[in-house]
Amino acid sequence: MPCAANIAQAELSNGIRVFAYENFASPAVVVSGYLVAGARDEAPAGVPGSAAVDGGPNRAGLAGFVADCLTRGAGSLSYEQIFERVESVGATLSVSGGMHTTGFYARSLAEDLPLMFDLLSDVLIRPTFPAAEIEKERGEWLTSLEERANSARAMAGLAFNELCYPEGHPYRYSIDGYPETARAVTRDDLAAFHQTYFAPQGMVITVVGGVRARDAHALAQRAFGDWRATRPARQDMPPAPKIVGRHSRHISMPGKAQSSLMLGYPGPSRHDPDWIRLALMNSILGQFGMYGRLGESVRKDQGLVYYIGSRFEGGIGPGAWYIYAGVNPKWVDRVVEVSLAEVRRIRDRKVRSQELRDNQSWFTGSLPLQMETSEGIANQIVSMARYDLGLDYLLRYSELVHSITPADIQAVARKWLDPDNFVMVTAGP
Amino acid sequence: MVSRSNGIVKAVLPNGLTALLKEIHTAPVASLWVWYRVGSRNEHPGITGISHWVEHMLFKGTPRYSENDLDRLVSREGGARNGMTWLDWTTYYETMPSDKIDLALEIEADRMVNALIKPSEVNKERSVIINERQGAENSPSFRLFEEVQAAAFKAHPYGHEVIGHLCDLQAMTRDDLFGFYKTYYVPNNAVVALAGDFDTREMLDKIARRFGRLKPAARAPRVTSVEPPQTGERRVIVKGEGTTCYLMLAFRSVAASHPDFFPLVALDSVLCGASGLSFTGGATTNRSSRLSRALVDSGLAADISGGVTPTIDPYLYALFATAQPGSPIDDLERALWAELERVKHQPVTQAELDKAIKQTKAQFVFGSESVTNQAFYLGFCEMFADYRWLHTYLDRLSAVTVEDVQRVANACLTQDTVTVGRYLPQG
Repeated sequence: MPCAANIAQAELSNGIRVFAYENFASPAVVVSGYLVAGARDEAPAGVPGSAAVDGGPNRAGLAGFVADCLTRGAGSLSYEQIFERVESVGATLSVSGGMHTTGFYARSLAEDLPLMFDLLSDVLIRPTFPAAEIEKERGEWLTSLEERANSARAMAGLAFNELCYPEGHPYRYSIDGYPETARAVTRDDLAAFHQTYFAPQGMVITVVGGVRARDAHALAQRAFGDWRATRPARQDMPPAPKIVGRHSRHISMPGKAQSSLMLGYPGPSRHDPDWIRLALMNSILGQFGMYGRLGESVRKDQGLVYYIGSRFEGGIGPGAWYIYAGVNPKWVDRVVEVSLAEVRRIRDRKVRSQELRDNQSWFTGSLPLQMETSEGIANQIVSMARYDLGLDYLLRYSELVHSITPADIQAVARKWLDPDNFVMVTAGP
Repeated sequence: MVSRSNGIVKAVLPNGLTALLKEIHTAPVASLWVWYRVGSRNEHPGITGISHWVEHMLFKGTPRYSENDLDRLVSREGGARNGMTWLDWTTYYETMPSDKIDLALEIEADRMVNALIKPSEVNKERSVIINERQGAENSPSFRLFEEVQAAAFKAHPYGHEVIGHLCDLQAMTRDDLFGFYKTYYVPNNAVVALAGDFDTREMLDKIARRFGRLKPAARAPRVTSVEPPQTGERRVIVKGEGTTCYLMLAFRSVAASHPDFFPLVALDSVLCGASGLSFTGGATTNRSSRLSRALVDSGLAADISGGVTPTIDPYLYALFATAQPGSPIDDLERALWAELERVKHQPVTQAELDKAIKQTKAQFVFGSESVTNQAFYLGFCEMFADYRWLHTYLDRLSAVTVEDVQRVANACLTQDTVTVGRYLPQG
């Protein structure tokens, strides 16, 4: 079990935290981590100096596009050279922009780890943003946005966030941007965003696999130790006001066979002290076994859907809580009715202790499965760093989970689930 | 009967059940997969989708374990489980903390013969599966591939989608499902594959105790359909919503047991990048591959992918491209053919081939990290070859020469054996 005693932690002089975990059972090595630059750094509407387009931010998707373009040329390497090197050794290298952070991931055979560090430092610190390559990436971006416009699930998600979060809130806007912003972003925007926000402060690098921890630290030091950039401080994330009343929207997509349903509202961040109780409550409601109680009522008892579930997005900010399902349009009302009855039930009546125990033992029992691979272990360590859980979190986890009572579950259900005030979106025929 | 090779133990019980075991002690986890030699290959018009539907019914309970028990018992021990149906096989797995794996053995031995398939449950599941199909229909690529598959096969059941036709899903009865289950879910048509943290001898005893007493049945009916040769290009068009064009070229492929299979894997890696064998994906990027360079870098396509599927009978080698906005699909198809002609007329370089092999090896190593994948591999290759296919996989791939690749390119990538599909958006 990865913990403070076996994760070798070091802080470079520029503030980067490096975590190394030796796993010689694997001939592969995973490097996974993030730095603090993301979509919330795109100037949102209402911020001086950023003219909003159609009520939305005019640069939505910029952070994601920067991440996508980092591998288009970096240091002395062209796009072709970068991918030739990566793919020639069967490795994977990717960078992706998120809301709060930009994540990076590399997986290679252990012998190729120095190459992966060289490439990661080039793409994260020294991207060149070649103009012709940016246009190619833009073409792929525009295609993905076209495909998104034809995806019922994706369109439901976009409308859901628009209804959940107020104007100017970063969560209202898609981290993938919009066709207008995809066409408008310039090379200067990319270079400026990188120059302003990519910096070692807050960066986390995790190395897991068949490599000695001290070698991993030395590679991280050589690749990133001299990086001296700084970034401006972030403003606090604006709050997401509570949804009052029912707000519905249907996105008409003729030609589709099925509607995508989302029902929910802004929820708590991963830092909320209620988090672990919420996660367990939500598991009972919409995850355990085959989609929890929702799956039991809506799928098993009534055969109304193939999939349904509920989730708290959590994360660093006020991610949404929602129920999701793929539904034949004629059954949407019934699915909503049955689902809301389940929401009421978990608020109104304490869960049976056996049901709680089953969920608790799933939470703790599934840990070994999540850590079968170096990638799985790296995910756990990144998560402990990202949410300040402490490196002994997994040691405490079982006790945390098993201390939860039926009364706790009911208390958080009453506090966080609301069957009367929500946003509901369907996208489909 | 027990044989051993490369750390894998194979045993065939007196009732015909095959067991494959591989000890791996890197994590306190074990994964059990039970494979049945039945899939959409064993279906015909009227009962298309039945293999997949039966798979769903195996989650609906037996006299011993109710549906909710099945969900609860595995999950509460921290296990992961699922079922999958494909062209040639249907499989069920549980990956559990290793001290709980007995539960998985109990469940699988029980539902091999005792699934209830209650009429009321059949009807509820009918709407669940129709929903599953409608969810798939929301995706243009599913609709395009379904048409391409149908055009590519006239006689062989590989021509219909695993999920089945809507009319069959509406019409099939409980008797159809139960009869199909009783025919194919028998120990002599099953393979039990286990990998993980256990002692092989002890585990063999456990398997024999639970599965050994199940009665064998008549040999399942053989599939006799043979697809006749194709003698000219076939072309299908699917119109639908959206604004994105998709292009698919599906060539007649070879069976997994055919000597050209490995050269074809190498060819696919050169053209589209290595795709690996794992059921959990894990493929790498393919940006330095020939088709990505020719089609994506030139702005014609946003994405290109290819895939060789190991199958019992010859299936398809399919290339799938997503057109960029404003890029004419004729130009995309022309450029794709130009690259295929190039690989047919000039041998690939040794460096390209070496890269393709290294990529595939690395994917294999990454996939092997997971006990779940390891158990998957064991049973999977037994469906179309046997477990030795697995440990000769890398050697046979390494033995491929540039001449092999060129020969297979010329044999496979011909205009007379292709089915071309275009998705033309009407938005």
